[in-house]
Amino acid sequence: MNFELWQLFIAGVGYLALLFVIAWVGDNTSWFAKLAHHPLSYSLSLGVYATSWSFYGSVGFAERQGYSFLTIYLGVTLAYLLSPILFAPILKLSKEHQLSSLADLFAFRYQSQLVGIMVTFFMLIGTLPYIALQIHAVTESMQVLTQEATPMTISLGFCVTLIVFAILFGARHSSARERHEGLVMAIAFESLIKLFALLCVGVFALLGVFGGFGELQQWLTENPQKQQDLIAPILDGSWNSLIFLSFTAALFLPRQFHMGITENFSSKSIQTASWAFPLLLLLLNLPIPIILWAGQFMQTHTSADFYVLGITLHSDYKLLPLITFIGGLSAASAMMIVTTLSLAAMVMNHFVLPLTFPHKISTEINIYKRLLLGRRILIAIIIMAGFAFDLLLSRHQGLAQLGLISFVAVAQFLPGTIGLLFWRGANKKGLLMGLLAGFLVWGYALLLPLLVNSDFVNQSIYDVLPPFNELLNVQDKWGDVTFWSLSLNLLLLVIVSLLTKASRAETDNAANCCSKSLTPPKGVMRLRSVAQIREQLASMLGEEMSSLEVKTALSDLQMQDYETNPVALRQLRERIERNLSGLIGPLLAKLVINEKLLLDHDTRDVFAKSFRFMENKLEDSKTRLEGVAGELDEMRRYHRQVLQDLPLGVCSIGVNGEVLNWNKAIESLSGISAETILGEPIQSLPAPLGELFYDFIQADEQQFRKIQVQLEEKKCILNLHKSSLVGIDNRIIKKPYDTKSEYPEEAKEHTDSSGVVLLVEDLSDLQELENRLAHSERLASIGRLAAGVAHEIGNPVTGIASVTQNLIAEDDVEYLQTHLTQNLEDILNQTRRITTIIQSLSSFSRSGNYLTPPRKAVNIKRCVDEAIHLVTLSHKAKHQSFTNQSNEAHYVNGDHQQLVQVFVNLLNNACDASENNDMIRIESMVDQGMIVIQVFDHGKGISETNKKRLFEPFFSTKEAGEGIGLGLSIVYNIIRDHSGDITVLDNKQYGVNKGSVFIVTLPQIDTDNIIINNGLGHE
Amino acid sequence: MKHPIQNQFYERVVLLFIAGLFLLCSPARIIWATTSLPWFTPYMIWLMLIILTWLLYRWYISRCEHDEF
Repeated sequence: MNFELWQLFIAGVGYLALLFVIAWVGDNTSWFAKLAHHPLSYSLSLGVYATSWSFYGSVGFAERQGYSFLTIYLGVTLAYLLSPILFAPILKLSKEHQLSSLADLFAFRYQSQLVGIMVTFFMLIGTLPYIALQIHAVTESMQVLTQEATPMTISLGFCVTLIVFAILFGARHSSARERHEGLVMAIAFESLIKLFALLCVGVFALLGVFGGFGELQQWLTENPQKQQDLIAPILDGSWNSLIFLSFTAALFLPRQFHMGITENFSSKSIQTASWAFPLLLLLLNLPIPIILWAGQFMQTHTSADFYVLGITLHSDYKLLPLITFIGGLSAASAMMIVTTLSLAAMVMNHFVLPLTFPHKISTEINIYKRLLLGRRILIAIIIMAGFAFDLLLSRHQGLAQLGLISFVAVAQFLPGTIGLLFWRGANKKGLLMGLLAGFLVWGYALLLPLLVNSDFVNQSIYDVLPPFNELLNVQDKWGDVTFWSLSLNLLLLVIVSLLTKASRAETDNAANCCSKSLTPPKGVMRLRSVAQIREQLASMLGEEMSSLEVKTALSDLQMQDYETNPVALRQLRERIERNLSGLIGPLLAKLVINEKLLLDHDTRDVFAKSFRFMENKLEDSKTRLEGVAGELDEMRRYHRQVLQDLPLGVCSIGVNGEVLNWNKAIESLSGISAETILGEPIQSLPAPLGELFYDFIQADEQQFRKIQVQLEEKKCILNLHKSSLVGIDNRIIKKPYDTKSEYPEEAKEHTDSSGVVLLVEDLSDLQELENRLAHSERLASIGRLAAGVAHEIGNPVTGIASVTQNLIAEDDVEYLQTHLTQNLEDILNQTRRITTIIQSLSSFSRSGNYLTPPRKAVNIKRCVDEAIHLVTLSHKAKHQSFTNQSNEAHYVNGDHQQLVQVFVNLLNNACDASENNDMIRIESMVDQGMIVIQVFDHGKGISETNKKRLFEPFFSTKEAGEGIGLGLSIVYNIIRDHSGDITVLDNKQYGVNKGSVFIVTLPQIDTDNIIINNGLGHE
Repeated sequence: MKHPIQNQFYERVVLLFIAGLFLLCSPARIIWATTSLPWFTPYMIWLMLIILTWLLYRWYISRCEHDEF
């Protein structure tokens, strides 16, 4: 049975057209796109691994090396078994940084354009034999079916058709960064076609050739050598080498990287692929021995490489050879399309763009169209290079041999990948030296013989350079070449990396690649808006590209155009870089971004952003830390939660004055969210908090007490406390906002955890309660004074009445004329006395917030005098004598009324404790800048137990109804508010047998330039 | 940085990989590479490895709440 060339051509083009339809539908219909996202579709698309080598060449391979043909798939099975360790990290990196090829990945990790160029070059050289193999296989298959020599023009025609198709099919987008559902579906469909065709041939071989499984077994029993030939190579030395080669090929072949990593939609797909893809390979290989034996049984005239096709020519079904041809075409076309797409992206990013990328793209240039055109041209060039390579080759090269040459080539990327994933110490110099050495060995041992056999290189070269086989007495060709090339490669990578130093960028990226780094991004954007970013990018990328890239990045991040938050802008910058990386390669993208979107590494809020970055990264992490790290993280979370839920406002300030922490309580108090203020300078807080906090940080005091501030239509009383955090060498950084501090730059770099923590205590409610209680206490005091007051007022009133009656009764006009003025003055004096008493009482009982009066200089002696005057109004106090020995020159900063209340309470207390005729003495002195006022009494004294509780609210030793126990508590609070202190001692310590002494200590003020507060509301 | 189930899974993956290496790459393969066994024995071993992989991944997916790697 023979076919005409045109029949095959039509079948081939028809099949490719069908693929195009599938790809188009996959890209344009949602349900088909959903199907592409199914893990099984992903697994099937990985079937691009099985090329025409697998489809046709496996049988020939099996004839020559028995079951060794299975090694090419067993290695892949083992590689996919390890997918969580091998594929998942690469997938994560590629997705995070939009890396679309192995060259991108290496260039990104080793931060070198040269690395990208070298990887691309070696990948290209290493893959060309493989592309040639596909062209070779399709051409040969046509020859088998037509039974005539296939003219070169047919090969060329196939290549041109494939170029057209690859351009229409895969290169419809300007970059490889977009996921192509259509491509995935088409390649998955191709895998199904390959499988279907091979199974059809297998079934035909089993049933059509042998007549059934029993008959096959019978034939094998009669020909035990056939089975022996298949099994014997399993124990050969090359078995393990081939498994190793296919293991590496599963990772590094451009088509595998493209379908497995670049076109991956979800990391979950890899889980399915880890067993589904090997299962597909197993099914594809299941018919191979049967087809081989069928070919041998039928003594087909074709070479064993084409038994798959050859035996079908003897079937009665004319469709079977055509299906088989389509299966082979499917295998070859899938490989060529995906490989060229991948290689074109590599060449574009690492050869073309670095050389041709303009310094500024004019508005007339559509960069996307140019990139697309470039990719299409490159696809054509690569396929034609494969065709040229095919022309060079001897027609007697086995398909498997060509494939294995590429396998050894891509295995050279293994040491670099070990450096990428596991060894941070590997650097670009080591990688370049290793790759160069590995590829030199590869070229010498495998490529050179191929070219010599094809007469492209003269045999005489062996006079200068002995063949590799003879040089090293090679027994196992693939194993030995792999061993020597990789050993040299790895050795140089290790030695050169150890001897040379990596750049900072390389070290950073090494840490990023080797583990999930928590290193925060350094620096913040100098630009402050999206519009500025767009404008800056436009100066290099052109307006159209800049707008589109910014728009895409904003959409990816679900961010608004008016965003100005520095953290958000930094994220936008990273997203734009990643997106550009997928378009023009990671290094060029970095170059563009670094040049146009400058970072400020010295900005004060860098640490704050970094701090938050780490926090967010830890919080957002889907996986949890484990071991000691896990326990530490638990502690960190616990402490963070404690800080967040603390009912006190907590605000920590970084070394440069930026807000690092802003907990819920302070959010609620200030009405300012953490999101708004974190990272901002403390003084940027709205008034009055900004100024208050700033002043407090600058002040030497460790606390501000009872500060009244107006916050959101609410008056608040705040207590502020601060504590300096310890920096390096345990030095305290007292004034974090002082950027001109004496700390060296090095110290600043290492004092990230230093700064100040502020505690903000809201006393508003407590203060209101205290005010009410104090007022009640004052009223109670007035109640206690009432009798005395009545007596005090009664005396002048009696005097007035008496003088008035005398005046009325006096008839002597002369006497009246002489004494009237005197009597009226007496009356006036008595009314003044009454007025003074009433004013004192009125002032004392005045309700209101005693925090509000401004602090002025208050004379202690006058306060005490006034207090004595008030206290002596009471009946009991009339029986005591008071001696005020306070110094007239002693002034304190405070509120006169409050201090009078202090002494009234203390004197009342002393009166209560004293017997009749006891003396109460008040003295004042100066001690170390403090005014010490002592109130001595000769009462019954205070027990040690009571002393401990004396200043507690509602603590009283008096009988019920005589006091509510707030007097001394109020005294204590007022004294503390005046930054003073109060203690109580026994008189014994002063040489007196009974009584107590209350010692009030208040800060002394300079008497120069003071404003005197005389009390009673008069200044 | 990994969940305990993930750790267990990774350990099992490595163990299965080593078992696969032992069966396929060590001299122990002489046990199954004999003519006395059916010609499809290599396929059976291969299939067994695939089934074990499938079971392992199924175990992982059923236990790990966030079943991504």
